[in-house]
Amino acid sequence: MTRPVTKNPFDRFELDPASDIATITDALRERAEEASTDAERAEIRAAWESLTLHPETRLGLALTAVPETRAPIGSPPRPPALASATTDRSKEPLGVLDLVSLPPLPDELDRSLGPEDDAERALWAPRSVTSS
Amino acid sequence: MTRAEERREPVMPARQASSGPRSEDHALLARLEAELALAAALEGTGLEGLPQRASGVVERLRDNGETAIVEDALQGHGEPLRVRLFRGPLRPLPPDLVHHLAVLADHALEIALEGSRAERAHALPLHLAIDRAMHAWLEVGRAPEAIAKRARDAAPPGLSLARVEEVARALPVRGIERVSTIAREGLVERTHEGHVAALALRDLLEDLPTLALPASLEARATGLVRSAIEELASHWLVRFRDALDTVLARDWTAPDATKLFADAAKHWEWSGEEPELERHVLTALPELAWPLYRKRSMRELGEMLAPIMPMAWALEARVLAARKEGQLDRDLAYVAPCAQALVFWAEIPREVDAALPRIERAYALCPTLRNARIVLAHVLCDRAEHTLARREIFPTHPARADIERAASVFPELSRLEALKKRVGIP
Repeated sequence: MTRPVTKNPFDRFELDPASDIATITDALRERAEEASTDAERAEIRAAWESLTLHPETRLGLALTAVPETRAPIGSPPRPPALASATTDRSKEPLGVLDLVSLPPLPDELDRSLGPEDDAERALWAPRSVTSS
Repeated sequence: MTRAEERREPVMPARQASSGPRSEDHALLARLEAELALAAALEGTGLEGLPQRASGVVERLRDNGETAIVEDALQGHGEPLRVRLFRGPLRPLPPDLVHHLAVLADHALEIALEGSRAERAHALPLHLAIDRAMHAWLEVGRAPEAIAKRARDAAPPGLSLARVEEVARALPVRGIERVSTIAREGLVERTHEGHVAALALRDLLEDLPTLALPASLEARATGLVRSAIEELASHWLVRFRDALDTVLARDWTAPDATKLFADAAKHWEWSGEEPELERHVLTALPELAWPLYRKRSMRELGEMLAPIMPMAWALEARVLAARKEGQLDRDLAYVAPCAQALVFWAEIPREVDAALPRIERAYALCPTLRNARIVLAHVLCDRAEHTLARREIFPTHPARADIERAASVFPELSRLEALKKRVGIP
């Protein structure tokens, strides 16, 4: 294992110093599951113990961790409204295809489709219900 | 529209009715720039893995009007920002910014202690890192309300308010405690790190009254630094006393004594020339020096004295300076042992010209010390005899002055009578 950049578990494991015990436990459990060596797991366990079993130690570590002083960045921008071929479609729920700009079909492919003929029109036509 | 035409038509986002970037977009951009600038500043220092919130220090610097170094960092020139973070002024600054700088100072200290050679080259030299860590946390203590609020916000459930406040009060002296530990850990092996820490503690003790800290913080810091220094001294004094007793308990030889005092001198240098060590060693000196003196083993006595004479000279200088200021207090009881060390030192050379300035120092330091008076009188008489023996045309004038002075310094000296007769002094 390489030398950790800091011994403070809040910084070492990128934990928010204001986190509650449940959040800390969840985050460190994930870390422990991803750990590849017993030494790493032992280190994570020691960090967990210092942060959850000893309130005074935890407070000291929280005060000496890198403080969070960044301005909140607020909410992400509203998803853009989408244009579509029909008015009705714009009211439908968004799908994956609505979020990307599809390139036009290559000319070769377009030509290969050829003009729409009767067979194709019949294929796309609504099926009629026939009673036997 | 045909099926093919419908398939060819791209699904495009509608043009947004927008009046430009929102405030949130500006905030996001500022955050990303801060992260980039900090990354440029910390490149190669071993601190690249700090959590992203560390970039808050860059935002706070910008808020403080220090934008040029941030812009430089964004252009890939991280050095000015790095220098600002690790060596720049600590006051007057907003509490948040000072807190960031103190945390960074902690990290810089760890790199200076444990980092690779390359990392240390990019960060701070050890002595600066130690100094910075102590001063930065003391600066945090200038805003006790800000610390108290931060402590209350971060306090885990179950911790009493009194304990929360105590942890908050301890924060500004965190650097001092860390450096004290480094010094203590280096005590036995006399490590370089411990030496630098011990020096820094002594320097801080002198600086504290000039920092204009809140009175309670200054008192707490002074007490901690003083007790750390005393602890270092007392730990060693116990070892020195044990070693001295061991030497005295057996049929010791001059090399035993020389080794003991050489070790004492090394520790004195390591400790940053701790006065308590000088006092103790110079007080213990006669126990080993007199037996050698009585045997007239002057070469061995000289070898034993050589390593500890800087301790005597340091105490001498402090006494003379304090006497000039009229403030001699703590060293008062050690003036005589110090002067006695100077007397021993004056007895080593055989030549009058070498001995005289040495004994003059001892006499100037403690004119009431009988041994200083006797030896000075003897050396003056020696010089008078040499002058008279040269058979110069008018040898009596300088010889007479030496004899008169010897008589004033120690009138009971037996050889004075004969000399007085030779130059015609009644």
